Amino acid sequence: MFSRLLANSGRRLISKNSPLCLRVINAQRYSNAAVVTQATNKVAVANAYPAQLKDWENFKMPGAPYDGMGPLPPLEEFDPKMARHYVIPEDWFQFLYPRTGTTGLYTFFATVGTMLVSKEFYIITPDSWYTLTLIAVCVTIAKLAGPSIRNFFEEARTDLFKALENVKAEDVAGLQELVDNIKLEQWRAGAQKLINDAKQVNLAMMLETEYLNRQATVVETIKRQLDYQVAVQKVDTELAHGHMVNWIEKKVMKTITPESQKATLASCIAQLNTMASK
Amino acid sequence: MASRQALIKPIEWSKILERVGPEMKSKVNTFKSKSDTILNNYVKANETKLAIDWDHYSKAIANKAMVQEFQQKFKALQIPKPIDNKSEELKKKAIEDEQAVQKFVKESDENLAEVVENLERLNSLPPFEQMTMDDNYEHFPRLRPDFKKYPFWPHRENIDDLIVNKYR
Repeated sequence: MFSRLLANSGRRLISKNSPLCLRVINAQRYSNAAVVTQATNKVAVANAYPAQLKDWENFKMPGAPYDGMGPLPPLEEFDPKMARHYVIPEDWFQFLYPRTGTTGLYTFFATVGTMLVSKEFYIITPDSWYTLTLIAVCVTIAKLAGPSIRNFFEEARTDLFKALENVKAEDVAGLQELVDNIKLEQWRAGAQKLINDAKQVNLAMMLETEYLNRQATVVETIKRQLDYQVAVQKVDTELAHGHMVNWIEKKVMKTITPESQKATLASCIAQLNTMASK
Repeated sequence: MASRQALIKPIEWSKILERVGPEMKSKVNTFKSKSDTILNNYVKANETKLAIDWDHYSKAIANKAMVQEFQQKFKALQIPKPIDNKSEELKKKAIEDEQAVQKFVKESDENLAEVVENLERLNSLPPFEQMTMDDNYEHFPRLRPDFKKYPFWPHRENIDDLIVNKYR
């Protein structure tokens, strides 16, 4: 934390346009820490912790009642215009404004100071210079490192709250996941009905298949029998056909005698001779 | 037969499979492969031709009387339908499952209500700036220091378990 404080004040010491500042900015831009420094570099507003509960007296804590129950009253809001130049109350300026205008209090301090010095109510000694130096140093520190210091203490104050926010976010995310899971399981349980319907469909299909198969068996058997009859008939006709051919052949062969054979041979030779002479 | 055919409709597997949890996935997949074989058998049985070409046989066979007899007997034949004795069982199981699902949904609804209540409680807390340490311990019991086991500060096993260090 102190290192961050030093770094912030250092950045303020370096003027905006100097090359050193550019180098620092580039180094930040290309480092992983850039995001972090950007986040913490915001101008601090005191009591910036989110969302204060104004109506705290009427708020009912969830899960009430228990020991040491909240909520606590909210912190008073920090008013940066409460004092001018860190220490001079704004009320004094407002008191003198109607009488002497904006410069009234400065004029008052100057005249009173002149009076104190000239009448030697206030004697200037070496200690006065120490005082002036001290004031100058305080002003410089406030000007340069004031916001960082305020940041530092603000962060120290809100660190616990931020950690608790993380705890809460974790719990809420876990519960949300649980809700989602329960809803998912409920939705998935509905699948049982679909599966049972599918089983009914399967059963109906199996019965139908069995019935169709039985029908197919009967039809196939009948077809086979009829096909057998057709085949038997075919064989019968083939046998009868062959038998008839044989019988005719036998009858024909019986009619052929050796004389008739010779006569046919002679007529054939005669025919050949006539064909040769041509 | 008509009523049974009305029961047969395509099963919506995409709907079933998307609603099935990872622990039931393998069971449902085996069931799906079994039903697929059943469907294939059914389709195959549906495709076979059951008609007999009587004209062809009456022409081809000389013995017309026999064909006539065959035809008449085939027409008169009542093929017995397979007896459905599982349907009642399935219906009973479906009703039981339905009741079990309703019971599960009811129970998980109670759980859900509890969880939602807790969520609402956490979401309605005031900002932590205005909560006391007792509030924190009441609503986030896991942050409670253990005074019995660890009598000395930080009342935890080590200092890194402090809220600020652990949940930074």
